[in-house]
Amino acid sequence: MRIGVYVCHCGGNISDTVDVQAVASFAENQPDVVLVRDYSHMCSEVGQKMIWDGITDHKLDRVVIAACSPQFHENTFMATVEKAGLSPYVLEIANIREQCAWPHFDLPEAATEKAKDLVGMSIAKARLDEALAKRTMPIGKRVLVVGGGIAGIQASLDLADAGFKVYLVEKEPTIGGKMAKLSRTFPTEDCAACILSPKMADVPANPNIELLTFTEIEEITGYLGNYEVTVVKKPRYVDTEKCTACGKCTEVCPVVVPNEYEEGLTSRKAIYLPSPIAVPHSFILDDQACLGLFPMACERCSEVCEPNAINYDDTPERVKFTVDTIIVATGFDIFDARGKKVYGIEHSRNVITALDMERLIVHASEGKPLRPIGKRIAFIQCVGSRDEQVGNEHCSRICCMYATKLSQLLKRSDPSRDVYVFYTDLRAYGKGFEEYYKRAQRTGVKFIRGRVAEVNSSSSDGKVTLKVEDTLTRQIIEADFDLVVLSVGLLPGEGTKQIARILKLAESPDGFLQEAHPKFRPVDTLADGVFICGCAQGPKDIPDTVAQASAASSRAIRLMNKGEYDIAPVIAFVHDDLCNGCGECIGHCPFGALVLTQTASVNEAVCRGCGSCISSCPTDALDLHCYTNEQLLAVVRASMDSKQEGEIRILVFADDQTTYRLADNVGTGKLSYSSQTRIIRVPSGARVTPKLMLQAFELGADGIFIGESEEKSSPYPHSVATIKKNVAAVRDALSKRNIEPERIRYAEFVTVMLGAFVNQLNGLCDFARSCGPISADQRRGLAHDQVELKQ
Amino acid sequence: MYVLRHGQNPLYQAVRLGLPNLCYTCGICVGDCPAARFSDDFNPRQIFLRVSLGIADGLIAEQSPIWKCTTCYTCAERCPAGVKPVEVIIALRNMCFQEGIVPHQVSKIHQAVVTKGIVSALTETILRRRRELGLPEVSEDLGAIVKSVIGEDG
Amino acid sequence: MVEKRYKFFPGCLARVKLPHIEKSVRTVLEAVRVELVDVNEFTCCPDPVVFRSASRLEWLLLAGHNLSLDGGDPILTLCPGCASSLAEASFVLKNEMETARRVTEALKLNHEFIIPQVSHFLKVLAGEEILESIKGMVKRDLSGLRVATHYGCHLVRPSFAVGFDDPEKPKSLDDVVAATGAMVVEYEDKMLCCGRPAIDEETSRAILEHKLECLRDASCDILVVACPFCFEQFDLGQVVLARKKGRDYNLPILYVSQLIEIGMGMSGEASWKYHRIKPHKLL
Repeated sequence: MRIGVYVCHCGGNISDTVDVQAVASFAENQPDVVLVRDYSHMCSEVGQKMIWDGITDHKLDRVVIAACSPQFHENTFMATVEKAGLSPYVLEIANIREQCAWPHFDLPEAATEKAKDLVGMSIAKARLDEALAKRTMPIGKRVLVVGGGIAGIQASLDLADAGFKVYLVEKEPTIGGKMAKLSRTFPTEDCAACILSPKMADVPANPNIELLTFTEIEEITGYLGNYEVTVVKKPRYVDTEKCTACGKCTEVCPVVVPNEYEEGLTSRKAIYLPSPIAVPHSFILDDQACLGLFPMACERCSEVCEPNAINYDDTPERVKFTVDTIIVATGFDIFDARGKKVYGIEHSRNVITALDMERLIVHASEGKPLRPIGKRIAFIQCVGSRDEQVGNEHCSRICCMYATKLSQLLKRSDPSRDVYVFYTDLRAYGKGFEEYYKRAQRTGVKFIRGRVAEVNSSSSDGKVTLKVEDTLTRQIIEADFDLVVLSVGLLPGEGTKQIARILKLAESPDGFLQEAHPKFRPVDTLADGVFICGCAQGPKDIPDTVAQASAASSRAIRLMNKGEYDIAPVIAFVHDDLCNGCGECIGHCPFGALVLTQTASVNEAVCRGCGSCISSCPTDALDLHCYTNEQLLAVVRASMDSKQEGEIRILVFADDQTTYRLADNVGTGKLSYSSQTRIIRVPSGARVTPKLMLQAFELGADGIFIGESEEKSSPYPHSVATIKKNVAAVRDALSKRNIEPERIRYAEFVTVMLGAFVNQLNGLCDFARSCGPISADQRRGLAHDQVELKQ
Repeated sequence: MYVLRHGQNPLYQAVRLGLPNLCYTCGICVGDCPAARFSDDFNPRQIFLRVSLGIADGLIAEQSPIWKCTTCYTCAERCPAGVKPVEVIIALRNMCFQEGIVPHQVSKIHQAVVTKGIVSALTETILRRRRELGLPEVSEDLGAIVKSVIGEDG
Repeated sequence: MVEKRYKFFPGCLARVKLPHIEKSVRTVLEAVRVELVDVNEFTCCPDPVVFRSASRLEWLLLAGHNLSLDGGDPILTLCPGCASSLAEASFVLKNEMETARRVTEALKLNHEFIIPQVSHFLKVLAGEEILESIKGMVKRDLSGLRVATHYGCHLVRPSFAVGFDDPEKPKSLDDVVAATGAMVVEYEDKMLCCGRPAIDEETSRAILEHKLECLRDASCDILVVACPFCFEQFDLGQVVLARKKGRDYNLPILYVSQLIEIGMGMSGEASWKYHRIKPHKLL
């Protein structure tokens, strides 16, 4: 055995806190370690060359790298190790940046001690690493695109043009999304519908795209390369193939309801064309409004429909198909301005949203104004954005510029108008934005820095009064306007929340979908093969949305183009000599990967590697590659090596999907927690068997914490039940020895629960400290105590 | 010219529970503030800005504008940034009280509550009126209770 | 049958200056079958404006004392100042661990003493059942009476502590007035503070004068308030304005329970003599 240890300074990120020389000398004194190096940036080309040289010149057969979290450079280092001729699975990473240098930045000595332990633990695990080979899985060229706004359209066209099969699913009767409603786009003032409609038309024309409008996603199961999608096509009652959009049906329809496409500013009939640029260009019948679907039959539309396109008996249709990757482009909803009562949108027709104003301008510029706009117009910025009172801390990014656009369109179309924009901060950060703002000022729009406190409307003359401080002159302004426009912010849409639930995607604190890495994986998610783009990921303007959509399709193509992809060989296996064929384990795999013949065996194509089955085996015959029983025990033992008299040691088993990344986020946020903790990465908390927990206590642990992905977003939804069962059994065993059972705790997390994670860990540390030490007698032989797993 | 004294300035320390440092000076607290509207020199936004920068001039003083606040909490309902405006004002007033520079009314009521347990003394007229109306007696030991409650810390 | 028990917290102003308001509240609560328990040891809440301006810690200590008295029954106040003071102190005690520790230690309280719910009288009245029972008990026709309502500030704010009605556009007081059959009239700056808590007298008077101007424009017969401080500001304040500035508004002020008493035909004429501006139209 020849182990090489490389300690990274991370350009000071690590070495400013952790004494890397001390860590290196610690490593030098470990058995089997033949080479130790430290370097400022192990991830650089020079650093990788050092690893390569170690393997070729020093004949290393195991590599330990003490650096940043494996989520950043594990793949890079694995590739290096593999290129140098070793199995990529003989590499171990000690996460001494996110788990030592950052959270314990204020305690350099404790951080250094912890770093030594982490390196020791990695060396212990590396000794027992198996030289496994990568596994590959086949992958096809089919993509599901969810959402038919500009993001979904762009992604679909990119993919289809590259030869991939696209299923584009849109819940509304037409594609086009919010962009189709806009007047013009900032800062160039292109007509939005004019630049969008050709792209919309390209969609049904492309033979690689299957367009499913008025369709909801019901369920998605499976995994990268094999996502099984179930959608429900809602009944349109009009055959899109037959409908010629002649419009005779609308003329005779007696039912009038508000028109959603026009934000309710105009009305439509029960049978209607969703928008003038609708794709598919077909009428649809609104079954909530139509009379004909009720017993008092009307049927006038059917009588006049020459191509016989109307079918009152249409029903929802469930469709299933399989795709390899998924792009989520579900967009945003605007903030519901009724949530800001002081602005009184419910009490006056002269208080409107900016989206209403878009529609008013479209109609006015076509010479068919929907209503008078008036001479004095005020825009109120940040409505529903940057406002903790409504729970939205985020900036919606586009409101400054759309108000700058709308205000100058209004001013230019009638220079006698007084147009004011009341803003908090004016953010003109994009290409051409500052120039556009300047142009609005030249046009004569007045920008006043102050957040409007209150809006009151007079019932007699309809005038609307604003109260606001001009913060730059310190004057309190009370002024009347004919029309007040609320620049409403952007929120994740209902569709975005729904797809997040279905695909178990993480959400960032603002509620938008969370990208896998904010800098380097901006359109990936933590779910393999699922990508996000556009406003589903966060508020953004049209160019950014289109850029992200193209990025997402490119990332999807990158995965699918080779026809196969690599997966880690984290797979359960059976020690045949220990298996007595009792079959106890078979029912414990929710995926059905365990099979019983003479002894148990594992179907490797089905096993997902959670390790949940292992605790069910009464003879310890089940095991998991990459996280073997022997390895985890060795890691636990190494974690106790440095424990001093009077110290406590808390082991944190962190599931790879969530808790491990959460701990990274806590470290990145420099939130401190007890330095007596040692975090051990596991595929799932369910991998931690009762036996391992008892072994840990026997070896010196004072507390054990198991962190697991929240059930609804876990790749292993059954794991929480297994953890509960295991924890309960160990608590019983501890009680019998008069050891406080609350020394074992578990919690479910999502990756953003930083405070909860810190509190849980500190809480357990405080508890263990308050209980005092566990005596040697209490610990001795614990691992051989009988545990009873209750169903 | 002001010398900026960020962070550890004592003024900021005293009012930090009110989180004035979160203020992004949008002015929503001023637009409909009764005290700002009906007086010349009360501007909550400016007070938050000044205390976060440690500029105390005139705030801890005889004629401080802070006594104009009606504690109507309109600003607290509207502040989008997470500032607790009333906490800031109260903390400043507490500082004035410690310096002994408060309006007469404040020391009077504080004294009354500390000694009698209620904001002003019960007169014979009121006691008679209470009896006429058939209302219960008011305990006379309230002053002693207050002393026992705030005696040690107060 | 509506029956509920509260610890009654009359507060200083009603106790030592406006006992007729306390009497009126007790009468109405008895009529709608709400039981009150008197607690002798209730001190000043303490007042959330002036006393707290002297010392936040003393404010918390005294509020902690009042909150900890006599077990877990909820507290009912007739003054929104008391309700919001006690509720905000509860909020602080629940959220500021270090402060809470100091207070509970100083008061020698059990570490986990249960903080009771605190409600203002109006919150009980505006509940659906009691509102209905008030409607059922109205005997006198008040339909011609033009009533303006003044909510004041602390009745609904800070909403994070009092959690009652809407902090910007409340309706509970209007609902109760409407239940008596009187007509609620709107007026400008309805939600503006009465000015009383501004310790600076000039500011206080300027706000009051503006409020009274707005009320005059609305040509109302009476103004109904839910707060004894607002009551005093408007009632006594009119006398002061008349004396200092020669302004004569002559707007009678009623505490909300007094209007209900009138509607129920129990008008205690005896109490009118304590009002500076007599509600002649109702007599």
